[in-house]
Amino acid sequence: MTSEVVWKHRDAVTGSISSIRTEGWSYWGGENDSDFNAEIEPLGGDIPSVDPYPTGNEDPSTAPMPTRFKLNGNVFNTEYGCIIDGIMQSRPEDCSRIPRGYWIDEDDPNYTPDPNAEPDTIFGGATRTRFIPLPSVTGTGGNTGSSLPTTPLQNCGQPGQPPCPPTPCAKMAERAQKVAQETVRDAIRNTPYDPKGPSSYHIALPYFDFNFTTLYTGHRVDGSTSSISALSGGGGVNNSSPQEQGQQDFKNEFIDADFPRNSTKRGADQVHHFAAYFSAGINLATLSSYGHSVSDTNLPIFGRGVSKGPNSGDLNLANKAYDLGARVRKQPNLLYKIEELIKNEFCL
Amino acid sequence: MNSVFRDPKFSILRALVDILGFAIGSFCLVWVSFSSKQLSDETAYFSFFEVAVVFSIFLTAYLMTAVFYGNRTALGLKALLLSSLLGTLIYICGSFLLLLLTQGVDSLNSLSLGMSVFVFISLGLVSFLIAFAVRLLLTPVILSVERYSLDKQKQYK
Repeated sequence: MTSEVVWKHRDAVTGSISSIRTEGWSYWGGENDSDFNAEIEPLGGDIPSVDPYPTGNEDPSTAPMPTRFKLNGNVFNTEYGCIIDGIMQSRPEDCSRIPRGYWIDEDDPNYTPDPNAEPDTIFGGATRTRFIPLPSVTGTGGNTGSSLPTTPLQNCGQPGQPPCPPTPCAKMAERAQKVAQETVRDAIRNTPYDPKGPSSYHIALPYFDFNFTTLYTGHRVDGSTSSISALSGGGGVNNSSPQEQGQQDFKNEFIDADFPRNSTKRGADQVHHFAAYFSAGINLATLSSYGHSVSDTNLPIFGRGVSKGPNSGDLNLANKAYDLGARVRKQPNLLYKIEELIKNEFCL
Repeated sequence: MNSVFRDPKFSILRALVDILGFAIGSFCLVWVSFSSKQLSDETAYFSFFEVAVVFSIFLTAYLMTAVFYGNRTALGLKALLLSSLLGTLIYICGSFLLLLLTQGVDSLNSLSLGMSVFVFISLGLVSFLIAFAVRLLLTPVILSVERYSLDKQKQYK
């Protein structure tokens, strides 16, 4: 992980916060955005600087707040942990996996369980003695032959219905668009106008690559020795929120062969896989991408072997993400619709 | 010193050092591959059988190179590089043949030409570098043994 100095400016009158990198570009703050960029309302509340529901297709009454606003009360990614079965859990990912349901008081003779009751997600009351789980969220089976559906649940998230499955692919696409907008905006602001010079998209591309990729993999894949060794190894670590990890809404052809669609295991995270190869495409880091892809082939010993066969999902994702990165490199103004491109080509 | 180093009577010792280098290289290659696989597949395990297979491939290539050079004379760096690349070529061709025989032509779909070239270069280069490093590290030992052996021979004369 790279350390860097960030200049944080606080408005003495309004209390608003903005952060600037040493090279003069704004710092958007990653996951804990409100620590670095905040507009403070008169009563001291933090107003997020971007629309928390950018797609407009999520119901604000049921959809969890994006993780970057967790300081403002996202119960699915609590800042100070949560208690599961009486044990304090401090990791956000543990809290995000809490089974959702409702509590009933079995000792109350007048109590009648209400099947349409609002789910109580985390803390039960003192007198509630039994936890009734809601039906578990199901995803699709992909290559594993699971019987899970291939489309998001129609009524999920409604009272009495199971919660909606995470949509890491869509969240990643939205994140890409937001990072693209920020970096292009910074490029326009910080670069003197030169009609003969490179476009703002050209200038923004390396910054976009850095901001987007480091969140999901910890490093850019630029063909350097370190990126080859990193990608030849595990491909990096996804440091984003639990909502941006997994493969639940990736197209069937990109589902990891070793994990069911709704797996929460680290190996099932296709978001970091996409980001790494997308970055490799942007930087034309072919050797780096080959380095990791070999382990997904059916080559004996250095691949998965004859009996196990290739991991087609990983290989397909690698190829297509690399291609998209290469297209963006060739035509950086594609950044203006990168969310649409990612969603159309990779997400359900 | 050079005349001692080139003395064909002591080439077996240097050949053994080279073979040791390939053994260590094989171990390292399989270990890196295992580490990579383990991160995405929790069931992956380190296999000494795979190390043995890779080592036997490089050993075969080394012996073939030695035969190509004609005798037990000291094998130079050129031979070390040739052995590494030949061993990698044997691995790739053997793998393709195995896949073709067991699963047909479709099994080669996941392997692009670029990936094959990458495997060829990286495996060949890594095995060469490790074998070369081992040779460099053990050169003082080789020279000491050879000097000692020469002294003994002179004494007998």
